[in-house]
Amino acid sequence: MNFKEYIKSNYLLLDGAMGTEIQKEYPNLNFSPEILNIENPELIENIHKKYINSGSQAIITNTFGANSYKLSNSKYSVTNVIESAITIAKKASLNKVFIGLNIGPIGQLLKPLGSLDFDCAYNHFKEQIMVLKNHPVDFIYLQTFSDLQELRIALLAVNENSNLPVIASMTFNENFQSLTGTTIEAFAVSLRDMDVDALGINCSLGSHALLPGIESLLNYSKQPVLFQPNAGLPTIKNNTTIYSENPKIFLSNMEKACDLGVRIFGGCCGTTPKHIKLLSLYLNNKKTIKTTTHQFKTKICSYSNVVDFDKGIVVIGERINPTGKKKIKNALIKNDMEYLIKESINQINSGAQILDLNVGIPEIDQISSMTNLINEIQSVLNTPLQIDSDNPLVIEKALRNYCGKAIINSVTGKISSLKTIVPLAKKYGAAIVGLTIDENGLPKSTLDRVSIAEKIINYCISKGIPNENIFIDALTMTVSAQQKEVPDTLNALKEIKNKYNVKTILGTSNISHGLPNRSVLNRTFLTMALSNGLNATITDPTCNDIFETILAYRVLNGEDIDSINYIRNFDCTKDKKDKEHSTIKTSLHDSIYYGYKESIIKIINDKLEKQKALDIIHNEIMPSLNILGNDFNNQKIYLPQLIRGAETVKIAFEILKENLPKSHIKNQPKILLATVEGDVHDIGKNIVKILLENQGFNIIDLGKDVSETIILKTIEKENIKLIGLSSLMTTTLPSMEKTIKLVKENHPNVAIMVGGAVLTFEYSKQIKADFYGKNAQESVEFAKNFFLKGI
Amino acid sequence: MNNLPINEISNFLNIPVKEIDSLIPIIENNWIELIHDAKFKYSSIILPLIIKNSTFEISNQFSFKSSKLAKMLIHSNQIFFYSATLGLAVDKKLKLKSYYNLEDALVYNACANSLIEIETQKIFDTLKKQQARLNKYTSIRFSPGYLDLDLSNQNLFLSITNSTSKIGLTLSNHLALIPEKSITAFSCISNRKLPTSYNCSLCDFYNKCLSEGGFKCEF
Repeated sequence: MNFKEYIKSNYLLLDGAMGTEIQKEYPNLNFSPEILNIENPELIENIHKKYINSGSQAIITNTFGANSYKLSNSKYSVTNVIESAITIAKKASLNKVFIGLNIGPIGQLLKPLGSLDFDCAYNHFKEQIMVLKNHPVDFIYLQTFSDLQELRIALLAVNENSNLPVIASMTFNENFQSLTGTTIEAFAVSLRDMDVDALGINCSLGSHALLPGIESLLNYSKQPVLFQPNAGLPTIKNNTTIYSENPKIFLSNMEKACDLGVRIFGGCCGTTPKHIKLLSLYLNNKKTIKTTTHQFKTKICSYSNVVDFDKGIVVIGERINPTGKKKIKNALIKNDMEYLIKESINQINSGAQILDLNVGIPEIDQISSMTNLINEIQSVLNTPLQIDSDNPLVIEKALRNYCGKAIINSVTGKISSLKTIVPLAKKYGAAIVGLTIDENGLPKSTLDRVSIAEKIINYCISKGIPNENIFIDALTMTVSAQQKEVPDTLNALKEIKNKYNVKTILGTSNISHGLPNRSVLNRTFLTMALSNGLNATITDPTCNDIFETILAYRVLNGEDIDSINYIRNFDCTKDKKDKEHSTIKTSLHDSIYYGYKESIIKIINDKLEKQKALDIIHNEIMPSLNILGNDFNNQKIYLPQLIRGAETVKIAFEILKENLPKSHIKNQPKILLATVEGDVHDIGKNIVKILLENQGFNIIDLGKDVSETIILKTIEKENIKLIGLSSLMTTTLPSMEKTIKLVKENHPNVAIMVGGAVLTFEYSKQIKADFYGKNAQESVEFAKNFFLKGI
Repeated sequence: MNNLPINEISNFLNIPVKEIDSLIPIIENNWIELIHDAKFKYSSIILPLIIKNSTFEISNQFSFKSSKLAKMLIHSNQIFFYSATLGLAVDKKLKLKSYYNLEDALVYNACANSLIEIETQKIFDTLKKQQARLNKYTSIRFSPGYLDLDLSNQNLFLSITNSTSKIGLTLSNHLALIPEKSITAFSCISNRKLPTSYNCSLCDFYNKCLSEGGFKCEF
């Protein structure tokens, strides 16, 4: 029986710790233990044999850290180390037990918080897996991952480069969160609909402390569950590491795990052949396998946040979509992440539980734009995402990069669409929205809608998409143009909900296009849809009417128990209005100087009724900014106050921009800002950015860790005359020097200003920068003079 | 708020303590938020040490070089390696704040720097007391990247403390610690008295230093 079949109907016992057994022979190990596959194969073979003799039914190769990052200082290649490990395992097993290739984390953190990019991580794993072409094993064991995204990448690498069964296991701390914040539920929901044969928890706290965690995983996993804990936590006594769980204690907890439903067992750090022996005796006496059947709910998640569609109406924020939104369109074209993230935060603060992302404009590379947006959102927010595109390439790239379980928006009833999009949902374990439209165009009746929905549902199920991952959109028609069809949508919604075990979704704002007072129509239609069984609305949650309608619906439908959220919201609204009222009498200067962000909008709007935008800027804002800058220079105020004032001015500019002549905006001098390659710190650069923006400069912010190639390309593309480079680490100063050298060679007329904690005036001269700013304000003065006087 | 480390935070904000009153509310809010976000974890180990010439030989397994430190710490026979982090949630929050409220980000950043510094100092103070009970002395702490101790030693420090698997501390390709609010350091242990203060003029960065005689610097 092959491994895949075996684990479906049997308990499986893996081996125990390899590392701690090696340490018994090499207590002062100061090299990668995987090297012993080549330098002391007898030792590794003996450890394998001890576990086999103790009853292990599967052994794991000594390859946990056999990747090109961890072996970079070794004289052996990844292929050498893995080939040797498999040869040893085969020699020890004599075909009596299964052999699994052990793959652990790479040892670096993924971008954007770390420096490892997706493709690089993928290639590390692929390199390990490709060794199996000539040295086959029975299965692949991905273990001890604390970053869900890294585990997803490893799983994709396995599935795209081999046909082997695979176990995916994470490690969790005492709060049952991984080091990167993933919960056990998010781990299971993210992977359970992907091609993986077992999910598990290994290493970490020990068998006793992890029992609640394993119980949780059993509730959420569709696959057999693996449990391979440490033998408790280690302590050091007399220079010897001792683990707290002896074989008997370990066994008693593993028995409980077995009763809970665990199917694959093993031991991690600190376990020994004795631990495995007792476990083997116990499992050999177990006659029947405990099987459990769960009704899985519709859940969507990010790396740490799970949204349950069976708990009530779900709000999906629609605002990140360029259709009809000029500012979003511009932000996408300019890659203005700050605007897009703020828009995301606004939606979340207004009640969005999921964000719909649509980057569908022809002027941009939609694949890279969608990928950048997903990466950036996921680096700061944990709200799950809905990928909204009609381009399969955009959808696939988005699903690869998204850490969690996403919704694809959408597939239609057209065969070509079903054939292209549904396999992507299957491969990446995503949910999918089916639009009730097909080759015959828009449906003409309720019956047409239901019939197309049935076609989509049947197709999805035939391709392995479970019911709980299917959403049907019965299409909201614009009432001004297709008034007669509005009841069809609602009737179809109700029938689909009653007839099929799937969820329903609607883009409810579409109803009101072309009519005045849209929000009344939107909220009324939403209420009608909700009473017909709508599960999720794609809408603008920042629209107060919609937000309040949903709050009220949740009270009336029994979702908001004791009306807690309803009361909390309306109390807050009152506070907010009181606050706004109390601050409106402040002057513009005081608002800027003291950073009264709440009052600046009203002040600017009032002033615009009497003055031109340019006059407000030149006669009022600029003088206030000068005072602020001077007081900072004279240490009357400090950086936080300067920034607060700058942020207040930024809010003012958002309003004023709408009223400025286009020629003025077009002629704003451009400045390129970047933190140099390798440096991940950018708070200093962001401070310089906001102060420069306040002075009317058009900032092209390339972010952090920016290569000189990208800087050179942008200088050319945007016709840049001044760039600002920042660096906070001594190790990235060579990147700054290299960038300056290349800029000077290719664009001798471009001026360069530099700043950052490790820089000095002397060093800036040495690397031939044109200006060194000791603080952000100095950089602003330089930029002003540069464009005014050309120096 | 009694436990607000206002001196440390004002140091990191580069604001004299007497001038900081108007910022107390925002500092308090950020401190509370930080305490909620931060998951302080550390990993440490004491190992035998022999210093020969400029080389620190540890347990006959590892070594690093620093001629300036070797001169200062020549009589040491043990070394305490330490690494710590506040975790990724702090990095994420800092980045988020940088997007929507830069003033808040600046204050949160100063709070985070203070917190890891305070927690680290507690560990080193405990070490000092423990060693004193054994009639031993500890030195002040040092980190890779200062004096002539090359930053490339970060890899060694992480490896010795097994920090990647224990506390999730990793290195970027340019040797930045990730999560960002993290520290690696060591202190030497000896039967004789060791330096407990630091002379800035010894540092390789003395001429480049912006920190005005150790202000904000770990030493």
